[in-house]
Amino acid sequence: MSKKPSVMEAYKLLPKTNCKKCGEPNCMGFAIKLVGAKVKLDKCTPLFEEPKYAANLKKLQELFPDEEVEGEGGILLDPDKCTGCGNCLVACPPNARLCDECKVGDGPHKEFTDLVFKIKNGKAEVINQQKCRRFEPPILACRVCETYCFGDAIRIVGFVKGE
Amino acid sequence: MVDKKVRFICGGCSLLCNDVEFNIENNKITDTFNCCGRADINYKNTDTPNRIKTPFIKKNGSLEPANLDDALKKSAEILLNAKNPIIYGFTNSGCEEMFEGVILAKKLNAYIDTQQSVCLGIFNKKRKEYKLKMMKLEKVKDYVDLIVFWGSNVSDLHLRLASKYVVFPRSGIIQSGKESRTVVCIDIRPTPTEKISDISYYVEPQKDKELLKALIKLHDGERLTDEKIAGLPLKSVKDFYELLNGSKHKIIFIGPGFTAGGDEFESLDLIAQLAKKMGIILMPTTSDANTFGCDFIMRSMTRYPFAVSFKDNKTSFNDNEFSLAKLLKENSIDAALIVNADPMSRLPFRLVKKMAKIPMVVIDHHKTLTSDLAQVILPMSMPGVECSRTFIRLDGVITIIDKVLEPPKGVLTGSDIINKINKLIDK
Repeated sequence: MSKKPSVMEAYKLLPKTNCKKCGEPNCMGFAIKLVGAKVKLDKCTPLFEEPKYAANLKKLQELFPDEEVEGEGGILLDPDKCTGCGNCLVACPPNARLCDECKVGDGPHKEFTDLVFKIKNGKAEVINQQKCRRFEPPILACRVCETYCFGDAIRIVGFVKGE
Repeated sequence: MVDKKVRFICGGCSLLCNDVEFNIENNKITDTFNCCGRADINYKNTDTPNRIKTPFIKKNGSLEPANLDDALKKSAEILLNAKNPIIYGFTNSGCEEMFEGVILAKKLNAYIDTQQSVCLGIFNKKRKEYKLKMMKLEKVKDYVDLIVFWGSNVSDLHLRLASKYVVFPRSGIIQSGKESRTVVCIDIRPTPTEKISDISYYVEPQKDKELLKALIKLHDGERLTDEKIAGLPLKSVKDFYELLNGSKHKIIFIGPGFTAGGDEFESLDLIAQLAKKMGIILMPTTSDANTFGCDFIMRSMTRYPFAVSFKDNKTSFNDNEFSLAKLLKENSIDAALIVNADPMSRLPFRLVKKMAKIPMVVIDHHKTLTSDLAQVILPMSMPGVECSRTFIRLDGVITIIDKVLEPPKGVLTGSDIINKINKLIDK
């Protein structure tokens, strides 16, 4: 997912009844949190219970696939789509800062673990997410790995300030 | 940092990455590090049901396991009884196999052809003709700031070309990586390579020549009058020319898509002219690992790159007559020795039907479509994995690949097998 769905897009598909069953003051508030990946879709119970929202629910599930939402978000890597090209490994700025070999395009040594990405068995792996620019202060809205992934395997969940 | 360095060179494609590492247990690779998906499969499939470990001879229509001596005798017989045999393949094995193959072809007065004839072999001929410059990939990493992928989808062909050498590394005078490079993608349709490119141009199929002609005209100072060139508006052609003219170090990677669109001789001629005039470096992206090694050995032993005939004790070259496809079309071969290649899956169906009727000897490490239809199958060790081999990278750097694993019991290298057939023919 290279483009995030807008708040209005999500709001139009929600019930718009402001029933407060999800714990938010209104449906607009729920839509904002949904787009920010801070809340899951199943919190909105009328959407699942009432049959008239079935068509809207299907569209919403396509827009917001059910994935684990960890706090502020994270890097989700689909191993079935990954080809092991190593674009994320070299393009990632913290990787280049931490490892001199990644800076010039080579792969790191197999014992070296203090990195964001590493390639093992022909697939990329996220080793230490906390080193990512989205987590380490100063927090930056970096999406380099998602932008350059050949197979669309990397997805960034959650949004930081300024996005 | 870790001091211990145990790094191998990968022989999966012609990029020959020099930073792969393994965990090895009981002569089997359990984990690979820094390998792309393609190389990972290459290293882990050494012991699958598809692996050929014993020789096979066809008896009563089915392939049966046999003794190595019998299989060698039978294959020498097939090659000796034939009037016009062909030796084909080689581009995925080492230079050693190619060397022995040329010696055998000379002795048999046979045809010899490599998989270059269906790939970018003609480009190497043009490169010598126009005396084009080559650049080492390490130098490309340090200096080149304009990269063009023309008909070349690197996300399928050379998975690590962009990340290891061309687009992302921060090295030499280019210290900010992707930000200080411009990547252009020219193709007939959207490809995953577009994800790393800044500008994409979609040309109409088989109209690359028009775009090349327009660029040459612009360089000569002529005025262009057409509104659309190869499906592109005139403004974007001019922009592309300005981009090429403005950068100091530029490279064009030409892929199979470039030569597949119609008259490849003319389009290669035109791109060579453009490169000569504007000082562009051309680099072909071929999928086979040792295309350049085969080119080098064939050229130094026979003077010609591929499609060579040794008929009537004369060495002659004609890529329109002596390549496998053309020979099959004319029904002029009656036996084939195929070394580590699978022409059946690459050739058109009407030629495959003709080839199935010819007695074939196949030397390979895994079962293929070709080996299923062969008269004799001889097992070989995997080049670059189970035996040390010499390969040449796509920029012409000679590399020796060390062996990682021991071959299965009784399995010889490809060059040994060809040498043994050669000695049997002497007798």
